Amino acid sequence: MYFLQNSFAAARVTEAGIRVSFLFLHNFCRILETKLKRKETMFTHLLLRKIKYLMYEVNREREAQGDPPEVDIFEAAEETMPPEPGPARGPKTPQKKKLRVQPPKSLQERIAAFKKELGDTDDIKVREFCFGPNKSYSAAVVYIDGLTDHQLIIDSILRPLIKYEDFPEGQRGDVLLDFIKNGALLSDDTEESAEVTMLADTCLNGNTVLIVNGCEKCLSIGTKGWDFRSITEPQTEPVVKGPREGFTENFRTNTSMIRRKIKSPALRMDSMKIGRKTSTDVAVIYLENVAKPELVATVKARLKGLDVDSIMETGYLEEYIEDNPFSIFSTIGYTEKPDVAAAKILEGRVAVVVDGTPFVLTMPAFFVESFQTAEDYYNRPFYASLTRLMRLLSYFFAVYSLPIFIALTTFHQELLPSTLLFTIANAREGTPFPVVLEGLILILSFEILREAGLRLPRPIGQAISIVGALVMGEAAVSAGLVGSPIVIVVAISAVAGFAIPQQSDTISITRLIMMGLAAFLGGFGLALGFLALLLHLAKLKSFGVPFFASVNPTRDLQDSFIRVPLWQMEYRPTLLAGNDKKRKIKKEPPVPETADAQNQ
Amino acid sequence: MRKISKFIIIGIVLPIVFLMGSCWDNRELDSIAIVTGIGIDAAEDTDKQQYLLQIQKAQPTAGASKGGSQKGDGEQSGGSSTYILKNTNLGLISAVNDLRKASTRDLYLNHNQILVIGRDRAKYCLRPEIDSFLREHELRMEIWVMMADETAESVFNASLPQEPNTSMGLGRMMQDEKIYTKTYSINLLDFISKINDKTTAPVLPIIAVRKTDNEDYFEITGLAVFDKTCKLAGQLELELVRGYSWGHGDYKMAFLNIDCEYGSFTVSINAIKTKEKSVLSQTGVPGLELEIQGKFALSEIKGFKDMTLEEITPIVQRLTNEAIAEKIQKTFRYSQSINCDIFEIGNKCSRHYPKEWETIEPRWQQIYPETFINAKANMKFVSTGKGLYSLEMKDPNDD
Repeated sequence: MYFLQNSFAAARVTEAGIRVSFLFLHNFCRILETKLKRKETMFTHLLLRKIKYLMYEVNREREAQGDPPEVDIFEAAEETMPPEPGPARGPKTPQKKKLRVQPPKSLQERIAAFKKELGDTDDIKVREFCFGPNKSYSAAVVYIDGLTDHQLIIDSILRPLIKYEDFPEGQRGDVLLDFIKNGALLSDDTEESAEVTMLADTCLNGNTVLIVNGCEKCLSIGTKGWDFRSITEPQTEPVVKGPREGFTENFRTNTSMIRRKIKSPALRMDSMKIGRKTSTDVAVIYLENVAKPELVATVKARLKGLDVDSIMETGYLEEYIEDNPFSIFSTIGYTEKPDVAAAKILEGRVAVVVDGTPFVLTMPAFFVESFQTAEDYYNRPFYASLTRLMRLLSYFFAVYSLPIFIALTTFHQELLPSTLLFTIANAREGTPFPVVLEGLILILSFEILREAGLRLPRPIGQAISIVGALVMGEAAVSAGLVGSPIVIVVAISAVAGFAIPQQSDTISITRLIMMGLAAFLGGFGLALGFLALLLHLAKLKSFGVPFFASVNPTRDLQDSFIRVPLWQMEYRPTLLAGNDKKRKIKKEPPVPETADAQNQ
Repeated sequence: MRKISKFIIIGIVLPIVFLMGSCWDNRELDSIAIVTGIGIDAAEDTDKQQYLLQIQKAQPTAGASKGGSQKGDGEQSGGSSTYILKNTNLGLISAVNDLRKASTRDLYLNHNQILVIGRDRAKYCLRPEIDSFLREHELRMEIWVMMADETAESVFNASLPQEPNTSMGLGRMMQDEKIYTKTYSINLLDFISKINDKTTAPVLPIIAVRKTDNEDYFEITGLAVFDKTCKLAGQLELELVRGYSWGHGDYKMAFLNIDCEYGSFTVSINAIKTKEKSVLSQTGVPGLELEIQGKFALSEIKGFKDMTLEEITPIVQRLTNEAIAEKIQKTFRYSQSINCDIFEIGNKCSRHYPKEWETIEPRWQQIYPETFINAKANMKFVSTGKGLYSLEMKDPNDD
């Protein structure tokens, strides 16, 4: 017996030693790889010394035939282990706790352990019950109230178990669990595990954990069911013609909505969990072959490289993975509509669905996408092209109308028609502030009004706009504080801004910058600002693709400033399409059948 | 290194941006006086001229003093919306400079619409006045130039019922006149190019102020013809102006009354094109062959008693052609009498016969009275108007 024990201990020590040295070797190589590349030689040197010392210690202990606590060595090794360099940035996400195998314990002990793992809060519900012949077996279900569907727990776990009488008597362990899993439970989503941590995780996701007395493993059964908003019309992208469903806060609903639009086996949904604390579900959705593999790899790498506490909304992700963190332009698109997301996936883009938000990210994004709406593709191409041009025009108006007005009235009066100049001059007569200040006052009060109207409860929000529009605008003009032409210009600028909701944030900022330039340098300043803006936009990249793409003369022009008929869009966008470039066989208009053909 | 060069570039670019920028040219609209018309009159001192600047008065539309309800462009029919600054000086720019010192606002010349020259001033050389327009960048070249029948001041002081600002009104008048003929709408560029021409005599429209009991109106009374020293040489009355316009082919639409032995009729002529051909006579005298093509329609007919349409048509056509040719000849004869080459015969000859022109040019003043124009009108009778027969004519259906 002693010999046996000794040999076991020796085997364990040897095993641990091999594992440790393997680990060290592994780390050593990795350190050499990464650190030497970064030329942090001093740090590497110190680390290597530390590792050597540890290896020496382990060896000495092995030689001394002592009984070193295996776990301690392991943990010591883990401590020295440098954070694993992620593929793109930062160390790898959730650092999993050490897996501990539970020795068989009593049911009460195991429930207590579970509760402890889950933090022993009020919403953890435990239901103990007996089942089997003569109710000889005892078990318990553990779940979190509010995340689970009570009826489902009763129908798929409790009722079948308690009612099911044909259990063999006196069974234990895996055999019993198999009987329960395969013979009694009415659930499609069950998983066996002995790890408390993993089971607790599933519990936090809405699963119910079944602990059976005498079985080492537990069953995690899918009973998700919480209240969520039903599918409604999206608030940000309403359409007149086209599907009215919008994404919800529910992750599965959202992915299923995309799946329903693209019923292709090539549709890939690669899920991952991001956020050490929130472990938010994130799915990367794309079409195999249609999306470029490099693009998919980049998106995944950036997502996997994230080491953050929480992901609350797509905005979080956007900021973490975008190419140009210091630009005012967002280089990642978003949509609230499944049809838009599906269309973008079909163009070769990658969509990222995040649990808990009705917004889905699409990448890469182009600048012209801000001027495209879902309805462009549902309306006739001619009208769609017209509205798209109008949107471009209104973008120009929104940014430039006020700066141009300032430049014209303070520097280039000669450019105005004489009669217009007289009218503006008459309006300017007796107003106390320079034009720039007038413009600034008006545009700032507009921004404040908009912000106030947005944040207030809806009934009060309307009151605000009435007060703002009528009282402030009208009163300021009639009191002679500002001239009426500038009020008109500000109004045009504001209304034009509303035509492109996706760019409304950048419009506000660029408008202010352009106003400053126009006030200082007139038309020269405006030209400078325009050039700078153009250069900046041309420089931006979104996941390796130029943000300003499809403005340059390629075939992508078919869907940028105008929208050509759908039958002419033979190919997917040049920069997005992977292997599967064509979306239509032939570039031909629909041909109506001739009379002969109909007769046949 | 890259960082340093970046800073150097920024250090160079930023001062350039601000030095080249027009920050100090910034002027608010309420600090400028918008000049809408410039007039030049003869002064008592013959070395100097009297310069007039008509300035649009800015009237607060919605100021607190006027109450919130006052809207509109501020042009009231009663009060004048302009004022006139006068200065007698050697040149226009020095006059403007003097007036700037005397004015509460900066004079803004870019929106000047017209240049009016008084008749007395036009009697001696205009060239020095034009020079400042060629040099000063604030003065525009696209302004309308005209000669006042009396003085420029009388033009600016006229109170029109519709236009409180007379120079704006005159500008519009010249613009609208283009619908019928380009003859009167002469901007400074045209005028200067004709002055610079070696032989062509520049012309300017004459604006007369007609007074009624309580309001005035403007009338174009003809064309002032200037000789090559840029002095007023003569005047084309309205009848002669027609010949001038047809000779240049820039009459777009005109009515012509013709009397003849059978009665009288009026034709409306349009789509006129003039084909010009410079010719030299056998004796080496330059001339011009004009062929006027166009269409005309009967607008009015009196007389022609008991004649059928078939009989009338050739008569009307012949008389119209003759009348047009005669009018051109009449104008031409007048221009020969004042020795002013308004039909640009010399100019065209110099282009077509450069060798011969070398001998003609020094004696041009003597040759011009001998030059000739062969005008031939070739008009198409396209329509008799809405009706076919006049009430006095013979209707073939009556037979």
